[in-house]
Amino acid sequence: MPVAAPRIELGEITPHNIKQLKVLNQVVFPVTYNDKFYKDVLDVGELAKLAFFNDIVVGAVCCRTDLQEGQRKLYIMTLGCLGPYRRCGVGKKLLDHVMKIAKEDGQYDAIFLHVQISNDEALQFYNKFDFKIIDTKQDYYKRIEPADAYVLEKSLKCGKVEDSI
Amino acid sequence: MMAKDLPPRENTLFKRILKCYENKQYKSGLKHARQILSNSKYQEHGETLAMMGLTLNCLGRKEEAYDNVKRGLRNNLRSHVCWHVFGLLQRSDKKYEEAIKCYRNALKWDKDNLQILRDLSLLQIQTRDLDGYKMTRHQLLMLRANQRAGWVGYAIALHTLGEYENALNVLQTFRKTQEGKPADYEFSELLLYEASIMVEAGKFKEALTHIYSHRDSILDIQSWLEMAGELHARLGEHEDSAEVFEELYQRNPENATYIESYVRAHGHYNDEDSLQLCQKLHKQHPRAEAPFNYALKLSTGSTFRTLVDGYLQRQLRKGVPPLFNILKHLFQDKNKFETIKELIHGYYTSLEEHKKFTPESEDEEFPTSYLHVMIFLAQLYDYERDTTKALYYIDRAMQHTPTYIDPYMVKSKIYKHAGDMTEAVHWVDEARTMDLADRYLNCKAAKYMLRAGMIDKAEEACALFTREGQPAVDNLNEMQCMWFLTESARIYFKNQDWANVLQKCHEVEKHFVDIVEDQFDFHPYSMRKMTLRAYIGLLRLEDSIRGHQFFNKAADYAIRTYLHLYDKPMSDSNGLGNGEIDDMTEKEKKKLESKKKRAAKKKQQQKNEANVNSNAANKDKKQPPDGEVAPPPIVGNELVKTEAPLDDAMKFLDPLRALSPQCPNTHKLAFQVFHRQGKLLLMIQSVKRALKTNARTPEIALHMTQLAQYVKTKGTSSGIIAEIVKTEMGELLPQNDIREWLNVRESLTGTNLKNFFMLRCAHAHLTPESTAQQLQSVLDFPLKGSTLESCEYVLDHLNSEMLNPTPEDIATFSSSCHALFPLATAFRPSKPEEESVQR
Repeated sequence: MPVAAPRIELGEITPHNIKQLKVLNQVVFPVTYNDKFYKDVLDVGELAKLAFFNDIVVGAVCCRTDLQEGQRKLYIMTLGCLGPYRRCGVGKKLLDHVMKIAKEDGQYDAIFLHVQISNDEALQFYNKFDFKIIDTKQDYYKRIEPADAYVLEKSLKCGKVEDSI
Repeated sequence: MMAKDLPPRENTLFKRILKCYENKQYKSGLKHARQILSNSKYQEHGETLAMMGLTLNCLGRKEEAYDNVKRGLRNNLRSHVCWHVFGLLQRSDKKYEEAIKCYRNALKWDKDNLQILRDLSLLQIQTRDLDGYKMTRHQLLMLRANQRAGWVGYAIALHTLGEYENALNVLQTFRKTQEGKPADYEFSELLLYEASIMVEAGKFKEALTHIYSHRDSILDIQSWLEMAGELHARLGEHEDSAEVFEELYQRNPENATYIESYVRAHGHYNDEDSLQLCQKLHKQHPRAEAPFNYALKLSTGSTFRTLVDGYLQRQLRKGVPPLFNILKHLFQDKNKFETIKELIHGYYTSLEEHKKFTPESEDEEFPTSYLHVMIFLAQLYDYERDTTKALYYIDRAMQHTPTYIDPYMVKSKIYKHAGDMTEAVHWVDEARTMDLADRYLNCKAAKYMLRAGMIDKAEEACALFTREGQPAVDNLNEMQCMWFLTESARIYFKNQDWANVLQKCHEVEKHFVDIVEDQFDFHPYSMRKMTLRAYIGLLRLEDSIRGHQFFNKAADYAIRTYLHLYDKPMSDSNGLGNGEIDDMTEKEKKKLESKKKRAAKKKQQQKNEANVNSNAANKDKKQPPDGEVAPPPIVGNELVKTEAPLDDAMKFLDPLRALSPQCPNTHKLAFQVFHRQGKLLLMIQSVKRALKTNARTPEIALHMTQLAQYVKTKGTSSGIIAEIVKTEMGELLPQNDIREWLNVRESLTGTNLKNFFMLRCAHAHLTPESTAQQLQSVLDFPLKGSTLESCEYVLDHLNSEMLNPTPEDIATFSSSCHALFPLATAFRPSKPEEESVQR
């Protein structure tokens, strides 16, 4: 067991440190995000955060609000953590933050995201937080294999959010 | 001030002018002055004209100011007001000598005028006319014996002249008049000031008695303790000293000098005993770093190993970024270096396998511990200049946590040490762009860019932190950002852009002038606030301010530039001497020209933009205060046209010789200047001093040879100078045989590349026929074990044609260096610089 609990803190993404997010995403995700993604991230406030592990950026989350079919959902575009720092509580800290925003807002029907079907590590992680596979999108990814993605969703209507926090 | 020759109405107006001047209401002051002057009877009234001039000066209307003041003075040469005003005007233009003369004239007509005497004393201390200062201060004391300032001022004057006894007498007499008054902080400072004079006079016993007898009145307890501890030690009262330093340690356990003094106060113990004392202190404050670091310094062998093992683990776990630099001082001890390296390697292997510092440890570490271990390993190998291994570990660290900025900096430094500035810039810029708000990263990146010759890029980077609406370079200069100036000078020197070298160096010089100017305000201020110990410290600092390394650097580039301008006078104003242009091929010349044009165009464009911005910004900027007119800008293109480069060099050389005699470089430069000036005695002095500061300085070989040659061919044969030269040369060259001297020197220093090279140059100088042979031995020199710096040095000086090498010879030497330092850009066969700049 580690000597003491590590310091995991969340921090703002600014034009000054956005390159750290880019570097992080490049390493963590097989997908490359375009400039618009990084431009938008600067304007969403609390919906995008960096995670610091003992003062070093090791993870990040970026969300946006998704409106379709009359439903208002919180969509997690990216949530990731550097390999060596997994299973240290960084992901939980980030996801807790997302769920807290959703709860405080009170108007979201659900939180959802896409996961490549082969990504067991991610599926396991979200499973712990009551995310359920509700759909499979064929050929969701253009340049990576397998190209299919699961849609994971956590419904917020039945008040389960509180339990999980 | 009083205008005695005006009727009541005008007199009232005149008083108003004075009031307005004091309250800085210059516009109304001007109005009142015009009112008096509008009366036809008084339109040539001297004192009014003078005051009007002074007021105009404050509004920045310099020319009118001088006209009015001078006219006023002509109309009333017997008025102390007119003379005083003229003095003030001169002072505002920093013409201190003239101002002093004016004050003296003013005092002729009003010899006890306090204000004028005070103004005079300020100028005297500023110009360090210490005798004059003493006299003025004495007069002030006589006039106002009931004021503290009179006594203190006189004591300071005596102190600065080294008249300790008199200074102490004055202070003690004054102190007697203060008895019975409650002790305040200012009185406490006065007591400590008195003690500091006693210490300076070597009266330790008296000083100690003094501070003990006034212990209750001295409120600055830290200073009291420091002084007491020091004095006890000087008097050999070690137990008392130890006790005081222990108390100081309890007050601040992070002050390393307290710990050292405490240990030293226990007499001449060996390291073992000292270590125990140190550890005793550490136990009292287990979290303090200073006693622990001192213990690391003192301990050896297994004790050191145990101590440093625990320390490293704690700090690596915590992730202390400067850990390597904190420990660097220990590396001089090869054993300690090896111990640390072995421990870190152990951690590395163990962390990789077990996530623990050692397989036996109980605790599992965070991933960050592993990360910091890899970075530390890279730094250790870089310290040994093992570039391959250093890069291996730093790349591993970057793979592990690519978002951590520090490894990028380390990687950049590794490349810098390997001689590849272009690659170094790439990595430091990566680091910079990962956190654009970090000023340290920004400065570091800009500095590296300058080193790599990317001046525009460096400016661009700096612009993120300089004021908007002004070119970054101007703002950095305004802010006295000296490293930027000296680094710019360095790269301009390398590019042989002499005009810009001189521009930058003179800008640095100007800053030092300003720093000395700036002390002016402290003369009255310190006296009023009674911060006398600090004030004396300031005076002494200002006296030696040009001993600072920033000045030394600027002086080095400036003097070398002037030497070059002397050897190869400028042919035109394009900033290049004849030699270089001739050496260039047509293609290179064209390239250079178009490059220059492009640069100039871009500069102009930026300047225009900036001007537009700054005009907008200027609108709400206030007028400069006190009528200060911006000084004329320093223009390198003018400086470089000098007719007397060696005379100009003295501006930089004199302070070096006076304030940096401990630097071998000072005497190296001095010799080169004096040799060209044909000043034989000074040449001898420079060589003697060079030998004294560091006998192994490579250039001494050449300079001694040049000196011997000079004496032989141009030395005087009779007279007192000839006598001195004979005696001195007898000491320097007892056998009067320079060849023999060079041989002895070679046997002592010849294994070192730079020394070997300079010895060859000396021989070539002595026997020009042997030049080819000398060159060949340089090319044959076994380079293994030489530093990158010395290889670059030799390549540089080979290029300056001392040994007449052909391009092939240079290529040969360069490729030998390349084999030893494959990454160094200086030795790369083709010219990859241009390409890599584009990356």
